Amino acid sequence: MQNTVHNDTATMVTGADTIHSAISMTDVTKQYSQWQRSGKARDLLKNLLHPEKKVVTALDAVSLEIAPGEFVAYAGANGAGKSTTLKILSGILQPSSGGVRVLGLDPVRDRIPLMHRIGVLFGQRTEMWWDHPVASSFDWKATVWNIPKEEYTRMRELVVELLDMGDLMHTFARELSLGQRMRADLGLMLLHSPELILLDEPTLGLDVLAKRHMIEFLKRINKENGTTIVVTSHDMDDLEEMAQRIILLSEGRIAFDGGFDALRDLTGSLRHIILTTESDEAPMLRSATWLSSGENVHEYAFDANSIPVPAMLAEISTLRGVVDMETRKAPIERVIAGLYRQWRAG
Amino acid sequence: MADKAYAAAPESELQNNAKRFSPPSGRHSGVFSLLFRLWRLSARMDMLWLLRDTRTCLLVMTSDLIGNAAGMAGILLLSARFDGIGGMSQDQVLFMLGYAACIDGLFMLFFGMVNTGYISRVIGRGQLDHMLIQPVPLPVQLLTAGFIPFSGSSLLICGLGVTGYAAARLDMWGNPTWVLGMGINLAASVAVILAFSYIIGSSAFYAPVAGEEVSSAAIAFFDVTKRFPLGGLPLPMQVVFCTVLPAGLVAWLPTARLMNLPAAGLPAFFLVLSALVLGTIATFVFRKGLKQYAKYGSQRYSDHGHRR
Repeated sequence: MQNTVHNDTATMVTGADTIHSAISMTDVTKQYSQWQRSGKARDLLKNLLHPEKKVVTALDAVSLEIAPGEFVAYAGANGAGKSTTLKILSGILQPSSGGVRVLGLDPVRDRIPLMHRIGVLFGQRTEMWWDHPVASSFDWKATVWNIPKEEYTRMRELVVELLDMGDLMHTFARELSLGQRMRADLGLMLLHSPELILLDEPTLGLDVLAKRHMIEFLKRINKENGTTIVVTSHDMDDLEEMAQRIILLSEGRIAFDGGFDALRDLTGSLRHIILTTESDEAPMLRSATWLSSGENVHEYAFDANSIPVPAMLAEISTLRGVVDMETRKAPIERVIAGLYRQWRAG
Repeated sequence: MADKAYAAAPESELQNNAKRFSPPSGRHSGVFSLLFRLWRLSARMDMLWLLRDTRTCLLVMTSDLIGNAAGMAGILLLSARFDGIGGMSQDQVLFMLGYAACIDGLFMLFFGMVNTGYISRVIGRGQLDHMLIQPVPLPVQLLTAGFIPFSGSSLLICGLGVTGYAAARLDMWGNPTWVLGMGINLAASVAVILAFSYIIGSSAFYAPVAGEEVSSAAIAFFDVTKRFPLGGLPLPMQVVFCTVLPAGLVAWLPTARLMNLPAAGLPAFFLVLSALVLGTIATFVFRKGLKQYAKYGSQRYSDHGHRR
């Protein structure tokens, strides 16, 4: 199932056979134990003295390499192990077994030097000082990270400009909207020019405009600064827009590692057709599956591997009352949802 | 350690990324300079809060003062009614109450912000994650992040005033050794409360939800009991309150010794010794809990940010 695809930036072989990874995980397993207690009176003593323990495997022998400069989407259903991985990479959690190196360092043992070189952002939390303006949090960070003054001034001006934060700098963090707070948190995270950024659900709860802003900014720092970015999200379309490579987790294992096109190929070359017709009755297409209709617009899906596009177009040309048509790749959400269903079914 | 990554990288890559991969200059030259830098930073943040949110800040300071004065009043009135209690005269009781207010003030001053004194909240709420992503040793963060010398100074100033007034009435001023002893006792008493909070609070590593407020309960125990002169209790009870339940260590024992009164038959250095022992136990228990945290982390936040 694994389809390891490395893009140009991923393979950095220079004469010798050494490859320097931004992130290297080797057979990493992370297990938690959960107490299992029944609500029955006869189990009272057992619950008290020897409660049953259930071992939950959050990560199961995960191995992966991420090269400097890559932009990687790390995805999976709820409970697949995404946040656990990011916490292991940032030294908050220790794996039960296996080896982890981030920028060549051990995240737990070398936590302090590593934190000077990476940035971590948990989308649902903030690192800003609640009772202070954003500018004070920026100054606070400069002192804690011991950022040289010139570097701090340069980076501060840069993030304020790129993230359009001029108006936010003197606003109290508690008064920011979610989108503004995420921008401020992102700017704060970037002040020490991290080589690697770990983002856990950065687009969670953002409106369309704020999301666009964030995606464009992340793409830009990845492209222009060569910053390695690992991002988790439930929004697959966002991930596809941002990242070059996707690692899909399923029940703690890597179920897929490669490009988005390769991921689509797993479920066949699924494409969608949108037909606009004169009436609200959906025309019958023999080679495609009807998905939805509304206000004279009808959507169908077909597998371009088994039905070539010209053949499909030929069939559509025989239909009456079609005023417009459009064909596009199936949304990655739908592809992945299909994969999740397949994996769960075993 | 950053040099290790250097060694592992291929030659040309090193040259290309020399700037990005080189360790940043001017990093911590020593723990003490780091401590003072971060104390200064915390002081600046506190001053900014005072300047920007003066009304809230003054309200907080006033309510702290009222709460503490109310706590002192009961014992003081009892002492006035019976012309001294627990083997102490009225002025001696006042000295002890002033000392207790200084302890509260010092605790508030150094550990009053971001729950560094109430460690079970930090652990139980998953706030350790925020500390672990900072490039600063955790003990240094815990020692410095709570420092609020401006908004947290009201209790200490009040305590020093009461202590000074009582000391003058008791004619105890003028001896530098006595003042030094007072300073050491104050530091040791604060260390006892802090260590006790960390020992009890570390249980939150194992039960984050149930244990979130245990440090508050531990500190509340001192709030309730530390102001009582224990001289009237039977000797075994005095010993219990100076060992297992160390409320007596926080005000009664040190002030009794400073005033040359008998205190459970314990020597003057007992408080400092207890602070060292409790501090060692707290360090051991907290470090053990941290290993648990590294194993299980905090499960307080769901995927969508709701706290359980």
